[in-house]
Amino acid sequence: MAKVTRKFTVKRQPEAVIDYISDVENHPAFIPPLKSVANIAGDPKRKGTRWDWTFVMAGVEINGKAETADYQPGKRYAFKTTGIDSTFSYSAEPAAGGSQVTADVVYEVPQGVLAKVADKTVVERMNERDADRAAQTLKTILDS
Amino acid sequence: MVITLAYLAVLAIAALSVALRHGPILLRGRSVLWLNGITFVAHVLFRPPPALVWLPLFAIIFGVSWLGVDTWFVFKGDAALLANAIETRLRRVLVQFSRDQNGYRLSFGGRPASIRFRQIAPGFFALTFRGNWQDNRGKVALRFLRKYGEPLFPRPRLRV
Repeated sequence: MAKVTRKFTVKRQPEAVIDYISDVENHPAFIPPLKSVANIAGDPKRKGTRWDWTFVMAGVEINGKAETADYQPGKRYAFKTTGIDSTFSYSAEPAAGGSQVTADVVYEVPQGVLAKVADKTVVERMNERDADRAAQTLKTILDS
Repeated sequence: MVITLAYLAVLAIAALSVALRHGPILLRGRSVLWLNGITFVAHVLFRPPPALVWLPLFAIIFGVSWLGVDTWFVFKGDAALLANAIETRLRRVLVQFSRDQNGYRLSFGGRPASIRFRQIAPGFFALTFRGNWQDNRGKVALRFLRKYGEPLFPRPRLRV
């Protein structure tokens, strides 16, 4: 399994940060390769709520499913994806002027998907770059 | 002649792609500019005969396509759905905006920006972006708006 972590500060309180991130329809706004989310079956803050996602990787649209794994108001939001097994978790802690946000992604890309899309090293490099862009974009949005 | 045929083939495939698919389909004016620019440069480099016909023709096509560089074209769209998509996306990136008869007015970094919203023909719309979209927040908004609809040339799909 590969892991990507990013930490950054934003000028919003932890409650507002986790509130924004736990609205999964906001995810395409700050996760660059995520094209859309759809068919959200309930409140994404509730554990077990499921939805569909569409990712674009190396010019290929990949569709899969996700579900909420954890939600702690003002502290943490996490969800898991299936098909491409991954866990995304976002946590926020008070910091001077706002919050320190930590974004962790643990993932494994199945061989079948890799064969159709790109080499494993290339995928990992793309994901590192996407993590940088996601962190910068989320910071830009929340600092407004 | 080969270059012109290749150019016409791209246009034909694009037209088929629009005709045979459900919308909305988004095409950025910048992409059109790139296609026309590459074609013009190829004509300048290789000078296919009659050069006195092709060079001025593609120079004009390239020049005119600069006029649309800040415009996005939406095929097979719906006015209400397109407006809703724009407004929803702007709200999701926490950008404030106001609506007027021409489209949307915004501000990034204290400098104005706008989206001019025009219906060119039934189902065919043009969105023109003017002002300070170079601000980081403007770029974030543009990237999210760009995820609307489908690209002109369909992508392969994989379900996992």
